[in-house]
Amino acid sequence: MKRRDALKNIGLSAGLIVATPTVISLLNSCSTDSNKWSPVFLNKEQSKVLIDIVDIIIPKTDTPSANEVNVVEFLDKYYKEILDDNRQKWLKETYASLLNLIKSNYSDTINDLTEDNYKDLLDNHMILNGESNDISELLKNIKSDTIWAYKISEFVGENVLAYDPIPGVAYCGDLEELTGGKSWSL
Amino acid sequence: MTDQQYDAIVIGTGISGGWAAKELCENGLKTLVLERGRMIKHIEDYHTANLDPWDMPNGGRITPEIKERKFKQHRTGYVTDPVCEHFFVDDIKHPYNEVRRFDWIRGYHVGGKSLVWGRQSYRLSEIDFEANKKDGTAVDWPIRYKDIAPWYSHVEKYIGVSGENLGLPQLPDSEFLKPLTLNCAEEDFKVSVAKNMNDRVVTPARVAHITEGTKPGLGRSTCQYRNRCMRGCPYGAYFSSNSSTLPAADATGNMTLRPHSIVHKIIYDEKTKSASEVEIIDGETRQKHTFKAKIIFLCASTVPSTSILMQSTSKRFPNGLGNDSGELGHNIMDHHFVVGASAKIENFKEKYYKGRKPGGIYIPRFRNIGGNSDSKDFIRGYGYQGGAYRTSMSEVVAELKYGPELKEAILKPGGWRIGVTGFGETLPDHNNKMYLDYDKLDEWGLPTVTFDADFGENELAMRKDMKDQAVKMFKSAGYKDVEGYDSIDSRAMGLGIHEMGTARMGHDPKTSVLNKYNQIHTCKNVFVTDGSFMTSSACQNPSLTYMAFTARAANYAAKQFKNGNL
Repeated sequence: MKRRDALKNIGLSAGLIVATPTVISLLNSCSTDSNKWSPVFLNKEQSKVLIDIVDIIIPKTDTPSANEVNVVEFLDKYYKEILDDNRQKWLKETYASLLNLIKSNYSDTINDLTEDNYKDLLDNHMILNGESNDISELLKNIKSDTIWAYKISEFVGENVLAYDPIPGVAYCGDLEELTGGKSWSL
Repeated sequence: MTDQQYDAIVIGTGISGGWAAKELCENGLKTLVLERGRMIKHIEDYHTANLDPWDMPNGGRITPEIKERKFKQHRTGYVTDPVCEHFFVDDIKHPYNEVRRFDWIRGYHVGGKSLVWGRQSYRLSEIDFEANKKDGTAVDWPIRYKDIAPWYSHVEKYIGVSGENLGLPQLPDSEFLKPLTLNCAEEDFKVSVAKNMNDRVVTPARVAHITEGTKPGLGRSTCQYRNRCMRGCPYGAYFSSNSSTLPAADATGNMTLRPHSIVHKIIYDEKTKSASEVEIIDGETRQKHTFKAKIIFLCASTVPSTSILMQSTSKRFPNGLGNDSGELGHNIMDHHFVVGASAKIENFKEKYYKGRKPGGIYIPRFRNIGGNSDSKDFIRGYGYQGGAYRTSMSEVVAELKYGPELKEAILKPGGWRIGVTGFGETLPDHNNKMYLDYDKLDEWGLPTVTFDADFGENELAMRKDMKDQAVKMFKSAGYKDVEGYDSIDSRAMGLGIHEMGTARMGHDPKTSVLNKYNQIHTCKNVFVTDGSFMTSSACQNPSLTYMAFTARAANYAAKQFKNGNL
């Protein structure tokens, strides 16, 4: 991927810069193309569901959405390369259960699912407080993994969050003045 | 192979070996420095030093392969991180045995653990050197604070230590560069402790970082506050053998550095009643070599140095070189920690920090130092290390499921939190030991180490106070959600990576291995100056003390050499 070089060439890695439409469109050209990319851990249907869910969790605003920084490609590879056998087994089983639930509640055809279907799924099956179950655990995991993957993506780390690889100094100051209210990415 | 003659041989290149090499070479001694692992060149070999999370595969998460190969190193939870795991050993290649669990964390390469140490640098005090004698524990230290104080100064001025002098008897002042600044929450805690607790103080961590100017070595400069120290510092801002002492030794023209040299035996010469040669196995060619020298500095780190002495048997020393006392391998100590408290601070929401400090706060020992400080439940004491920070995202994130509001919240810092963990003194106990297993050999045909050690009643009693006092400090400061903790799972020895005491110093050859100059009592041209010499553990992080004792011993050795006594 030449995205990093491309951004550097137009001077974007120099510091705190708000993403402009030009940047977003440049970014779009680097994001996951579902026609070319094939999942290595999830199956096609599961990855399609994940692609749809992550953009509900982190939608496009004046900054990129989760898919615009390749969150699903990252997580699918992470599932395969990092998680241990037990965790992988649980994920496979629970993704399968999730798909069954989605099909029985909304539509047999994954491509027909709407944004409202997914919001309904998250509203009713992600249990933040109270007794959880495997589906809820999976949805909460998807939420936390999506947040993690989004925040450590190169574009978000360097351009959306406050990025300061070589601070040179250490002191306390005003949050707004230092980062415009954002977290540091490192 | 052909013998080669040197004035001195230094075994090991970590924090002690680097200092031995520098001092011996600067005194004009032709010195061979042996390192069992590979070369690590300053800057050039810190290949992860500038990588951001997105530059690492899978965001830098630890792979199953690393966990499988480094399953004991992984007990720390942090040294197997892909950004630094290459500085820690493969447990399958370098096995050891545990009668009782012992977390033996090792770095086999030039620079050793000086590349990855915690950099906390505190002097031991007169209270520490007198302690064994006063309370009748183990044996007396053969030296007192005044003997080592000038060498602490010598080391501190050279390596660069930042901190604040407090004039405390239990934590002597040092030769400091300017301290790290406390962040606003840490400053708030300092003010609260000063106001509410009259027996203790909060001070910036004393760390071996250059905070102003420069220090000698390979272009050492001021800390850039990246806090990526464990990857090796391209600025040479923290002290390591690679950036500082080894280049100094090399600059004299007197040093020969030989990586891939696995020392397994020091040969004792019955005629001269001294050590004459060092035998190595070349880690690459597997060939054996022998090197001669007048002086040998054993700085391979506590357990390997002790193992080498145990393997160095002879007619005179059937139980290991210098082991007339039977204490070699016994009295192993480590600091006990991972006990303390954490809390939420609700103020300072409009405040944030710039820069990632390589150290937070320190609370010097305040127990059993006289007057009202004495405890009925335990002897000795502990200090706290900790710090305050803002969490990486708003607490609102936990309450939201999706959407623009969640997205906004994940990009904002959360509230402030503060935490401290105590580092407690561990008493020397003859029953805590390591020994060699000749039935289980490693790939070089050398015996493996077996550990049989654990913390005792005094340490467990101390931990209760370590937790309670941490909670008390946070509550008195008005912080919220104060939670004390004592992580039993992390309680095995070794996890502090301060293993020490297996070839202790003492007055009497019948009860100790080394004399007051770190010489083997009965083989005076062998000096042991890594953690194995420690007669008691104190509660301070020990590396600064290893450096000071090494510098003192090396200068003593050089003087004796020049006078023809060695």
